[in-house]
Order: sequence, then C-alpha cells, then structure tokens
Amino acid sequence: MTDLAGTDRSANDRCRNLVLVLGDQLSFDSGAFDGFQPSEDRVWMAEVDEESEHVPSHKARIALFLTAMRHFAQEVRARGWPLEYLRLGEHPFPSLAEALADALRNLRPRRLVTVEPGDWRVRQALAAVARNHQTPLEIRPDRCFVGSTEEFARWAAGRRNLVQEHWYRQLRRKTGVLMEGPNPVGGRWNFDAENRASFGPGGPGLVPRPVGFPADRITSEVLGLVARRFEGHPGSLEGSIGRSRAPRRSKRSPTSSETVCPGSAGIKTPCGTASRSSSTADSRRR
Amino acid sequence: MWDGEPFLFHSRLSAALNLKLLHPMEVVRAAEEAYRSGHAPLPAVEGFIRQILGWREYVRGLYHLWMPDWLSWNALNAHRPLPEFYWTGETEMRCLKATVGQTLRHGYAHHIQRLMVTGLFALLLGVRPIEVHRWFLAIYVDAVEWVELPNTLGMSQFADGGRMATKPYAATGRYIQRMSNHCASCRFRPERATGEDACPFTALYWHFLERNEARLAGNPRMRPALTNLRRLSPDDRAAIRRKAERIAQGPP
Repeated sequence: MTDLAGTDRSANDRCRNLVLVLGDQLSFDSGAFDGFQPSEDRVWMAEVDEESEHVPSHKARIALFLTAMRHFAQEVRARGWPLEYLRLGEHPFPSLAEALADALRNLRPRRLVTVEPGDWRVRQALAAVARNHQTPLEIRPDRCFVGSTEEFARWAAGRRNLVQEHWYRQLRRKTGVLMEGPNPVGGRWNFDAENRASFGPGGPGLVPRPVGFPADRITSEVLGLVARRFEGHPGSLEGSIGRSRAPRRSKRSPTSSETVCPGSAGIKTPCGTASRSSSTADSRRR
Repeated sequence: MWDGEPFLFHSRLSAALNLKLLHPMEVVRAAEEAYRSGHAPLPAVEGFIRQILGWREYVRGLYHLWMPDWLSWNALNAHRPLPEFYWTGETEMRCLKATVGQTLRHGYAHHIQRLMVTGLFALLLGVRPIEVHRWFLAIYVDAVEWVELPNTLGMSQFADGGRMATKPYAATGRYIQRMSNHCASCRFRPERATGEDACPFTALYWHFLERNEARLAGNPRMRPALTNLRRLSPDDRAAIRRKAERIAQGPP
C-alpha cells in the first residue's frame, strides 16, 4: 500500500539525478546544481570517518570541513531542496564509497551527478561505486576555478616545460585582471623582485589581528563531536581562537569560545557568503 | 617569519577558497580594486593575484594532468622516515618548533614556513616524499589534495625531478636567519655546518648537495651551489657528512 505521506518511493518516482556534494564543493554556483529540479532530484552529502582518517587529520581540519558541510546542508534545506545528509556516528558506513553504494541501492537514481573531485582517490572510488551499481556518473567541470582542467590540458599539450608564469599570463589575458588592453598594468607581468625583502631587525611592526567569529550552535556541536570522536588525532581545537580586528603588537591573549580557526579567515557563515575581510597582500612565493 | 607571530600579513583565505566558500575571482577582483582605488601598491597586489590566478590554478592543472603518477615519483631517491617531531613540535630547532607548534595549535602555517622550514628540513634530510605528502595533507586546515600534493611533492620535495620547479628549494640555515628572528634565540648557529652548535639545516644542506650532486649537475641553476660544494676540502666534507648522518639518526 502506498504511503500517502510519501516516505516510500515506488518504482515510478525514482529519483532522477542524485547530486553528490563533497566537503570541498560547497558552492551554490556549482555546476552540480545546473538544471536541479527539487521535484525530481535530490542532494546527497555524507560525513564519513575515512575522509578524516586516510591521513590522520588535524582536529581543526576535520572540524572545519564538518561545520562547513553542515552549514551548507542547512542552506540546502532552507531552499526546500530534498537532501539526504549522513551525519558521523548516525550511520554504519566507514567510507564514502560504502555510504554511496547504500544510497544508490535505496534511492535508485537514474543518474549520479557531481563536480570534478579535487582528490584522485575520491574520483576513483565514486566511479567504481557508480559502475558497480550500473548508475551513469556525470562529472561536471568545477566552475570554482578560473581555468578548466580541459583548458589546462590543451595549454600543456605540446609544451616541453609547463611554466607557471605562462599559464598565469594566459589567465590574466582571459580575465582582464590587471590588464590595460593587451598589456599588463604597470608595464610588467611580474613584481617578485619587489616582494622579497625581509623584515629587518625591527620585526614586522603592527600586525593585523586575525578576524574571528563566534562559534554558532552548529560549530559548537561539531567541535564537541571532533573532540570526542577524533581525540587521538594531532592538533588542538583550542587554538581556533581569534577576536577583534584591532591591530596589535604583541601576542594575543586567547579568549574562550571564539571561533573556528584563525587559519581560515572567511569561514563565518558558509553557503557562499564567506566574508571578504582582511585580504592583505601575500606575495612572497614565486 | 617572526617568533610569536603565526599569521603576520597573510590573508588566510585559502581554506575558504579550497572549500569553495569563496570564488577565486571574488578575491582577485577585490585585490585589483584595492590597487585601482589607491589602497594597495601594485607589487603587493600583483604578487597576491599571482598566487591565486597563477600558482593555485597551475598546481590544480598539474595535479589532474599527472595523477596518479605523482604518487610514485621519488627523483632524489629519498627514503628516511618523517621525524617524530613533526607530530609533536618537540625539537630544539627554534624555527621548526615555532612552525610545527603553531601548526598543531592552529592547523595553519604560512607558505614560507611550509616551504622553507618544514618542507626544507624534510627535503634536506631526505624523507620519503609520500610521508611528507601525508603530513602536509593531514595537518593543514586548507589542505585538499589537488593543491597540497603538487606543492609538496613538486615544489617542496622535488620528487618530480623538476617537472614543476626549476630547481630544488634547498637552502642553509642562513636563509632562515635572514628571513626571521628565530635564529637569535636558537642554540644552533646557522653559519656552522659542523661542531656541537652547527645548525642542522646547514649541515644537511651540504650533505644534500653531496648526495645529489650527480643528479643535479646538469641543472644550470644549481651550478653556483655545486661550485661551492666543490670548494670544500675533503676533510670538511667528511666532517659534514658525519655530522649530517648523526643528525639524521635522531634530529635534535
């Protein structure tokens, strides 16, 4: 008998696209959502131990990914999009592959859609699961980069040396960034020579204080989860503290319960609204 | 680099960029606007934009081009294990203590610390590239493999034999002395390669050149360094070799 509340799906209303969003693909401008139809498609996200354990991740790294994913999920739900979200500790699957296999068995989507994973290992795993479940896998280009992988491969083909400077100039021309017509602003492409000085004996002088944001409910929960579940992992969650924007001269005095990771300015409210604060020039590498 | 200053003037936007919470063009346009409106000088803005529009896009392209081959490359035939202090911060070398210490505390170190302290020490010591890669991937909040792996295996460890960087980023303790105040409070002397207070970076630097002399001899950019190596007397070289091997047995 059909469940009128709609918790069960009959063969006729199989999900069309299952849209898989990985923890480093948290953008609503993502190509994964092109043509997304809430009535036919659904979003799928999973927190799995493997992603924290295949290398023994720093606690703050785990916390950052989890809280960003949960904030993103909240925004997906706020849009009224169907979402399957597996939280750590609330499902039996150690790996993304096993969690996804289960989803493909139960939801039987006509197609699995995702954006190019930034990790070769994950891409292999997804492809294998899709193959094993006879589900077509559509991998879409990642628009969160300026050049596509295809464009890069074309650029690289036939070149003996792949020189960063040349690729950089191609993207400057493509985007028009710091360009005046066909020429670079200031008449030169490269100002590295001006960017190599040391501080000298006086030191760096006034240093801007890292921007910090209070931990909200989601982040606080994640910090607790990580502290318990990944207790033996390297690193601390205590150092994820920062406060005001006032410049300072000496060491900060840490204040409690302030934020996730001064190592990551801009992680305030994920969901594509990261802050545009504190971008000081950073220019010494190549 | 400066003792007690983990962030300095670095933007710390990489984690937000790498999780795709920020689009690179938002950041690049904001920097360009800062220059055009007179709020930041061109060399600073161009250098910042180069990191995002140039370097970041470049390593991403290389990652997808060369995986999974990257993982098996070990051009310098490096086979030592990663020293334990990378996970604890317990070392007498001041620059490493500061860098690993803040890394464990914040999940963050800026790129000069990653390239010229933790990365450099592993390169000079001859650590197995895959172990260095696993550490960098695990320990930084902004680490995703497409960006971490080429930076580690290519730029920092030269495991790709120069497909990416034109020469290894090898340097003595003097580089760290010039670029920081760490050496002032360190018990090791960056100008010394032998003796009790020799800087391990400096001793290992010469040993690194000696070990890899044949491999690097064809590289014009290595010529000055190799010329300096050949100026050392056989006795000096033997003393440095003994010192370096002692350091490798158990880094201080």
